[in-house]
Amino acid sequence: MTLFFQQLVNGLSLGALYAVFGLGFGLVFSTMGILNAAHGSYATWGALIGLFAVTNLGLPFGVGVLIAVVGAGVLAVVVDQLAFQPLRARTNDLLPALITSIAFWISLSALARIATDARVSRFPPDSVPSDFYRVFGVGVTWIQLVAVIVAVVVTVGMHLLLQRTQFGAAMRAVGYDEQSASMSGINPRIVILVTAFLAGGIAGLAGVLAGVSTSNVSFLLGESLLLKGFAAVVVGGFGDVRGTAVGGLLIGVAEVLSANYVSGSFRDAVTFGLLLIFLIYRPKGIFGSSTTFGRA
Amino acid sequence: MHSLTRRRTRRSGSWTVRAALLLVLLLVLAACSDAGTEEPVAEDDPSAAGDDAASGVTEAGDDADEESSGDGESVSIGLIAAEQGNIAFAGTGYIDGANLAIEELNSEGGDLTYELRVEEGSEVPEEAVNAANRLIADEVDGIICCILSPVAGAVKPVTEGAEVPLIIYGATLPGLPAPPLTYRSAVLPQESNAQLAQQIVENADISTIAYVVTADNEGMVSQLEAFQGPIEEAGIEDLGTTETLAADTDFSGPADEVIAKSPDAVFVSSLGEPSGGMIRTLRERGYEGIIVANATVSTAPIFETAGDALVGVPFPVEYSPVSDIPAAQEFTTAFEDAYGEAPDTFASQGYVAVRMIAMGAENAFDSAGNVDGDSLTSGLESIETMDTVWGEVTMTDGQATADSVLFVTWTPEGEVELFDFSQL
Repeated sequence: MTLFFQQLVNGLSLGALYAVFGLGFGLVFSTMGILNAAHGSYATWGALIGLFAVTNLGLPFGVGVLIAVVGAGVLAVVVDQLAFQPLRARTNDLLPALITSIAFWISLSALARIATDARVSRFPPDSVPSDFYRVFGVGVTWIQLVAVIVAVVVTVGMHLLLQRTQFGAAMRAVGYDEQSASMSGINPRIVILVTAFLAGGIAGLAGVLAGVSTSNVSFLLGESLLLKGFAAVVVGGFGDVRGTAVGGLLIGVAEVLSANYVSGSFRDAVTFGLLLIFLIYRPKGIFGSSTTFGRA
Repeated sequence: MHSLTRRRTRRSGSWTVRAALLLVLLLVLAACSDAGTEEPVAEDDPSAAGDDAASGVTEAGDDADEESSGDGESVSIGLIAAEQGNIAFAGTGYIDGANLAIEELNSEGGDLTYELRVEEGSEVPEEAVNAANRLIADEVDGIICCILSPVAGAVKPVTEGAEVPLIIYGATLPGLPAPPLTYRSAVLPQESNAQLAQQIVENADISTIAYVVTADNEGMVSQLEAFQGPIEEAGIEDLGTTETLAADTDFSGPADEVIAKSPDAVFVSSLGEPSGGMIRTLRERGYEGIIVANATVSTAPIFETAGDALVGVPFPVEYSPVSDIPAAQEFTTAFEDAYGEAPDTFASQGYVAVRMIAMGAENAFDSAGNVDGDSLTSGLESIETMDTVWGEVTMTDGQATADSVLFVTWTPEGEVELFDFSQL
């Protein structure tokens, strides 16, 4: 029984990473209507920027995280303006933006490969606490705790932003109908810029957390997050941050438990089987609305 | 809402043009990074070879003739490199070892001169096949490849179809060698793993053992099975195998699965980064028992990422700087002079692979007076033994076998030393 709870904790911390990543991914889709395949690259570059700040500049880890978040946010804004802004005036279809995002995904991944010389790095062991705690026989590392806390904070923060602030209302309005929002006095461009920055920054944060928790920072870091983050958004429901968080946690738990009790070789099949089940029987996700799904 | 008041801005056409140009530039950069880049390297400048090997792929072809001491026939050797991708931790070593062998062969003089043509394959089957096709189109005399078994399996039909000899220098899946065209110059690690298991049985007081394996890599599965043989014969209880995947980076779940079994020892049969990650996670999560690994943890980059967790973990290699074989010591000195760092076992495999092709070429030249596809094939087939940095190697049905194996471990200082089994 202890093993079950241990794996549950492992699954929740892993799912927290997926949830954080998925929040940014879902935010872009719900506000801008874009399935951004390059979103994983923001996580990769966030981790690389954070690693550079800590390793090469000798900055404290916390400062490195801040720089990583800002750097990934800026990258996301640049990509949005170069890739998606020119398309907005011409079409609302998903496909052109998706194709463009794939091009940027390939480019950013290649640039990351060049920057890292295709080698794997890690944050210096002495830059991050490596404490290991045991509570009622269940072990958890410092970074696992941090990942869950960050997921909760980001989820609550995003929910409050979207539901309780004027800017959040503007974001939802733009996501629902950009033209109508514009007519009611909202500047969609500013909303989109800030949304892109937020989404990229959150992805960068997820990248740093993933890099620290796995002690593995490489140009492939964001790719593993992309599929799972997308799955978190689908399972949780487009347009609802609570759903994305729950979806991410669910996927993380399913992944770890299936690896332990079924087979490590088939865990991805179990995870994406879960995704398939939701797509067939509850396509709007756990918390998604029909309206939001209709947009999808 | 003042800050959000909509203001009309006219989108400039030149902005779109600039954006398009930047996108094109990014795509060109991406294409250039994925191409099998080759940088000319002067044969008489080993340090340049070392620097270039660290930053990219090297080509030794253009300057090879300048280095040769005679008007010998040129032997072109193709090498499918892995300086990029997940196996880069081993790939750069292979190339450095191969380049060193080329350098030495050409400086030794004789009737033949050698050039190395390198194409990046990244240990991805599709890319490796494309690299093989490019080398075949360049009419190389022989090809050296493949660290991963799936890659070797993909390349082998291509080279056999083109009737170009293939030397596999890393992939460990049994059954790949197929004379007269396909050989494996590297000693199969399965035998080394079995010997290591025997040492564990004889020296460690263990009654239970658990295993970790990269389940989607046949070579790793095969290595695991070889290790399990002596363990089972000794009656040590098998607590089960935890499966991971080659792309895994999070090992908290698998590590806790292993720890829950409370094994006296754990054998990890995984690729380099996953091995390092798994071993590090086991230690971080409190496992204090014996951990045993395979040769994939033998490179410095793996020690850099896994850190002190690898200290005291024994693993088998056919070569190490601590080897007392004279040829190994000479190789170590030459490599350190050329690259400023000690070679690893993968560098020795690249070195021996080139030496093997050279031996086949010399046999071909001696018997036929020239080196072409047919004569090189015959020349390779006629090799029965080789004196290598691993000691004497015997070729049996295209597979190299060696009696010597070293059991080593990492020190806290990041150096490799012989493992003392009495400390178990």
